Amino acid sequence: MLLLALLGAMMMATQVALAALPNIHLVAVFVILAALLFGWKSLCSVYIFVLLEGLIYGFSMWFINYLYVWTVLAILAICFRKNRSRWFWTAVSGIFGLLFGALCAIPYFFIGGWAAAFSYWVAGIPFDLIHCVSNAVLTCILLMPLYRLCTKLLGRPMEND
Amino acid sequence: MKNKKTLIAVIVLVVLVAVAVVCWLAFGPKAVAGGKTVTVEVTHKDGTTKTFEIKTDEEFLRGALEQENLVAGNETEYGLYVLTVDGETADESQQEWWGYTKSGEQVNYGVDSCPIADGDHYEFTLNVGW
Repeated sequence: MLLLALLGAMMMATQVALAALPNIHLVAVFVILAALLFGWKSLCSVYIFVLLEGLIYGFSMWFINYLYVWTVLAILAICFRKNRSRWFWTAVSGIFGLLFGALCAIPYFFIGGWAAAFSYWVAGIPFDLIHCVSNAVLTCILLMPLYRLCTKLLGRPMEND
Repeated sequence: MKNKKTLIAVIVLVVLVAVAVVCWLAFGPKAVAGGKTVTVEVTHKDGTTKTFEIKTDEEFLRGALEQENLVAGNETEYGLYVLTVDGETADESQQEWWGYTKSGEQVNYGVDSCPIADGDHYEFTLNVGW
């Protein structure tokens, strides 16, 4: 549980540290890492992160998005957790970054219909593209080294591709 | 098998990037060059309203507002975070914030990336409560 909490705190700390850069952060890397290491238990890390975000930035509309968007990535990562291909996770992380705005537009569909959700999504496309590229690059560089480090620290055998 | 999954994931990524770029080009905001007149209605915390008619060549709302010294705020990675409108500053410790609409409809862009056109009507309101 301590490690799950630590991973949640790492998501938060790195997100705050990189807050000056639009949509560039390590949260997706840590969510995938937690899923590879802990499977379904990784959802604890995700919700610790979400709760910490709420406590720091306040519980408003965005918080509803956070309750499910990171869970989507976590569940996707859990489903493919046996996969150790760096390029697979690079692509998954990029896809998630690109779909982030579309996932966040879902509440606007219920509030204002298709037009509201679509215009919300379109307005955020440049930021989704940045999110896509930064997620893909950071995952490509950091995921597998962090995974190897964590398995070593946890005393687990490495599961190779 | 795993190589096949990787290939599928990469193809999905490329297709989604293409779809996003096409949608942005087709439906994203488009600035209009040339002279235009926009109306800005400001509702202050005490409920009073003031209306400003701005004649400008600016293409985005921020430029038109700054031309009249109507707004100020903090620069963020997403553009200007408006804290002051028409001399009244939102007190964030009291959960006050400035929001704006266009002809009563929600706007999904910050003032930096909101394109303006002749005859547009914007409403700025000081809200209380997140």
